[in-house]
Amino acid sequence: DRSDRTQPVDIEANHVTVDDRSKTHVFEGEVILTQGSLQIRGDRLVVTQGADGFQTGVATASGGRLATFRQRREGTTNEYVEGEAERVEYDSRNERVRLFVRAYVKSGGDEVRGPFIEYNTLTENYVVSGSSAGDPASASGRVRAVIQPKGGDAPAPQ
Amino acid sequence: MSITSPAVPAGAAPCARCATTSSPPRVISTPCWRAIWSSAAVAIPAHRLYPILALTLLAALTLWLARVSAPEDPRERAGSREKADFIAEQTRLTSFDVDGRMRYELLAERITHYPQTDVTTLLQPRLEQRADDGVLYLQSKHGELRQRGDEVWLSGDVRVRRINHDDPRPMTLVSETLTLWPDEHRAHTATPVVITRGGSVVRARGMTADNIFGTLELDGRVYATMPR
Repeated sequence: DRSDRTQPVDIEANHVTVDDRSKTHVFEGEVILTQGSLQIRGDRLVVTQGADGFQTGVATASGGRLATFRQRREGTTNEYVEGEAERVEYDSRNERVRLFVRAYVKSGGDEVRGPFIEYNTLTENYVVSGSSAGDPASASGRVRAVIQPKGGDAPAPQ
Repeated sequence: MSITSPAVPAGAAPCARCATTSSPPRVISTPCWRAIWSSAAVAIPAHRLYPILALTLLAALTLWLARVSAPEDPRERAGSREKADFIAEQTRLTSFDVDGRMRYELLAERITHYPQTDVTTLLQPRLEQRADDGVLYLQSKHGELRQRGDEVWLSGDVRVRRINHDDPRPMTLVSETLTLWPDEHRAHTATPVVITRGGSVVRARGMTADNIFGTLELDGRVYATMPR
């Protein structure tokens, strides 16, 4: 939810390599990034620090698994937006989570799948596209979305 | 080469085997050397003996001196490393590079060297080391230089501070122990370590550092907290 953005970013892992010159931290092994209710998990997370702290984190998984993310929906206690992809990039400055390759996001009854999804952690909107401008590698693949009618009671999440 | 048998002088101990006095010249067998030496001693006049005597005396003297001043065999020496061979108090060691710029400066309350183990201990060492891209400060309660300083053991509230010229926020590191290999710019600790930079804090269970704490490998479980 919205208060997440003011929280510090906590990261836990089995190992980290810190390169003081390039200000990058490479976390490896059961990595969990937490910021308020936002959580990103993966096998590897590369964090770059800005002048005053966390700036961006790129999470990936190995062995064919996917990096995942979830965040509690605004004004709810246990309703979450959940997503996964081969690469999950989180930019705390402009509150965006970008999911690359085999991307999937589920929010309430809505589900979206595609090569690239961009989710705004502030507005909780997400944009799915065949290919992301930033990542020519993600070929323009099929996009599949299930959008619940507004006002209808959302079916129980599968 | 044959040696004629010299005439056996009166009173010299006769050599049983060559007691004959007027035998024709023939090769002398070994036992007769005694006869020759004793006859030689008598033949040399007294004034020529003094240099020889003096020389032998001198030789004996040096031999005795050498044995006395020889270092005691370490194994025999009682007691272990308490026996220091030098102690320096309130010391400041400054090292300069070729162009006269300070490379590092080491302050210590006390430096003690133990010859038996060739270990130098430092009380409250404080090091400042200049590198091209920054400065490193390092301090602890105790320090030990091993293998003539190739390896340095620090223990007791070890604190490291590293300032990059291009970044105002220093990196600090705190642990209970730290081993340094100065020439290889490497360091390692197996005790829990806390590293901070600006508002970010990383806690780990062990660490290996390279190029003067420029690259850190931290072992886990690792917990990091970074301000947004």
